[in-house]
Amino acid sequence: MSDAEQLKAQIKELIVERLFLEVEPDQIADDENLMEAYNIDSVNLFELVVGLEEVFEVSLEDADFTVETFSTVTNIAEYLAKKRG
Amino acid sequence: MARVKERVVEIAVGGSALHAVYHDGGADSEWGMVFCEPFAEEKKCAHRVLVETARTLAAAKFGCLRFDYRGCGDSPGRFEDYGPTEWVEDITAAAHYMRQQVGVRTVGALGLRLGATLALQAAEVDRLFDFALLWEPVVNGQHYLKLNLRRSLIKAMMTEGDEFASEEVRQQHNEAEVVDFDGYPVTQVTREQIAATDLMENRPQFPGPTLILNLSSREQVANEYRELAEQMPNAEAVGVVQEPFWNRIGLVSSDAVVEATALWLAELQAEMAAGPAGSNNDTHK
Repeated sequence: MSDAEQLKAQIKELIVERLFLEVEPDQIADDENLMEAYNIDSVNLFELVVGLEEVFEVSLEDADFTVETFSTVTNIAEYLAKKRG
Repeated sequence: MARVKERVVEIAVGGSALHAVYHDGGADSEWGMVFCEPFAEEKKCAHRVLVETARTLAAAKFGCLRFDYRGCGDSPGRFEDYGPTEWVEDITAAAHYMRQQVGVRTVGALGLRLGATLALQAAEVDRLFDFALLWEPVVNGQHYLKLNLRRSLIKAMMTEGDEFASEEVRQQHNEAEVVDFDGYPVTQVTREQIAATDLMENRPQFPGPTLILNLSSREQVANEYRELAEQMPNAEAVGVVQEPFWNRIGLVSSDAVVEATALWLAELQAEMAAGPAGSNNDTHK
């Protein structure tokens, strides 16, 4: 598994765990819209953001908050990869 | 569960009367708990779980006192006129009420989020409590405020779409005299008092048995809670898999946290009964 794939797998696990979703992590497609597919509202997204910061040890900047950044696993992975340099 | 007797009571403090509900643990109940509720929207979301917890514990012979801080819920005053300083006084008054009016001998605090932190602060001053149950206490006030900013940013991002300007929200949070926390007007004074809270820097000296419950999607205890427990004289931290009901609007099961709480209380009662004096003689009076 490549680093990028591993990162996506970790993100999917985090999404399922933090949002208490009743799906398996690998059932989440890389490019499906998370907001629409899993009814992610602002409360869920807050949990997800806090989880991303804790697990991946990054600090999200205020300017980073865009719907697009968190809309898919691929976008989150790209964002985290950039943050971690 | 057997139906528990509940009655509305008033607690005098600072010229006001706090609205409170006492969940009677029965005539032979010698143990009681003061519920220290969380802040703003978290209080509203946690209401059902805290009521259910009080009923469960009262059925197990723990008298439970739930109350609204001044400016909150059904207690008098405007939210923006009060803050942590007054709320610590309210907790103190509630603990005195339990001992003096209800006649409960062994009194503990059960606090959630900022309420847990305020309970510890109240216990520091007066040694009010014999034991403490802290559910997800706020360890660092600045971080807590940062999370509230995050919540506002995310909410604005989700609702305003292209109009969303993160800098505007951030500036409002940092500079405005009154900031809207999900509909609650939070003054600068209150924000400063919360920001000054740092339980790692100002190590709590509360000597009574204390359980810190880390409620999250993992059983593993977060570092901040493990370190906090290590720094306190008589505390342990335990991880419980529990959905964060204080952030949820819908129905969330609280079985895990209530079970962990009841179990610890039963063990504490057994330990104190088996202590050197064979009774509760070492509890604070």
